[in-house]
Amino acid sequence: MARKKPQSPAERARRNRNIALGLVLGAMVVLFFVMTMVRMGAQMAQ
Amino acid sequence: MSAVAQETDLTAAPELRVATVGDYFALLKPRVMSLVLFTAIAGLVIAPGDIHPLTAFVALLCIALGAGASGALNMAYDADIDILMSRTATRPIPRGAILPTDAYAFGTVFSVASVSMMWLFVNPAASLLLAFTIGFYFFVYTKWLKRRTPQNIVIGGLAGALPPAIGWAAVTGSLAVEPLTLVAIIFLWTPPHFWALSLYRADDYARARIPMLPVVAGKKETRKQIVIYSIVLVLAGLAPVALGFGSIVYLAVSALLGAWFLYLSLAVLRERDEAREPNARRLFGVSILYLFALFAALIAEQLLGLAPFAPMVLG
Repeated sequence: MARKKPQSPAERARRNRNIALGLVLGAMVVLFFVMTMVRMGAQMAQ
Repeated sequence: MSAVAQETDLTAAPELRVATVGDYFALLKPRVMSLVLFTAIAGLVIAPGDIHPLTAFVALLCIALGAGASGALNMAYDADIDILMSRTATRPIPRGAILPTDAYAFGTVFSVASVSMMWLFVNPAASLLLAFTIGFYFFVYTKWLKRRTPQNIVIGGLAGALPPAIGWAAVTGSLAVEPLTLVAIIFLWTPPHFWALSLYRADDYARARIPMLPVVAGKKETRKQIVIYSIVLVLAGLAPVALGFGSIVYLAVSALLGAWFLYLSLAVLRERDEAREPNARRLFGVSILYLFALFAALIAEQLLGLAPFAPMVLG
């Protein structure tokens, strides 16, 4: 089913904001995971 | 609520529209953030010791987020005076794109996130310094000093000066003479930089009742103060060479641009065109170039191995 395109500038702005927020949150999850692995790796090496 | 706030009813401001990603990005004061980040990189790069490249990245990310958070909190608090000044009237809050309450929430979340991440993934010393910087910028500069004293940007400048110390602390977990020298350079750079701006924006500041030096003490006194601070700054700018962490490239950049800085400050002192203040405009631009160039020279020397101790951070 084709997704309905946002009509008004307000809807488009809100959609873009939600996408940006999602990307930031996703990046944070990846960053936290990688940093945890790096720190765990460093501790295991010691 | 201040007198200015009472006169400036933000609820009567332009019709509120849905904020875009760009509006929220503007809330982070990206140009200020870039200078903060650049000076922090210098502190991180000249620090002796080893840091994992990813930890260095997280440290810089936290500093950038913290600087952005400070900008958002500052814009939220100053919305009532920003709307009165032509330089700041197009910011997202005065434009009606973002509500001050949303900006407070945004700034608070970013502050907590940056300080927490710095503590968790870098070290407590860098985290505490970052928390102090954000707190000093908002509570001491924005809320306390900015609307009360012409020394606002002199004392408040400490917040903008601390990033090299945070960068250094991210590597070493402590402080030393070298980062504090860089802090001193930015601290001394701030008054002539902002007073040059306030000379050609004096009407804006007077309208918003911000007691900048030209508004309170007059342009003549401001010009004198610019020259005094410029002399001390240019001398302090040579300190990294005397202390042994700046080498030949840094010396050349610092001496040449320092001479230009001094020349322009004297031109500001002798200014005859008080309506347009062309020399103050030039000094404002050159002051940004001066600071960028000093820190770029330090970074370049470390990466090229010209300075007394080798670049171990990124190696």
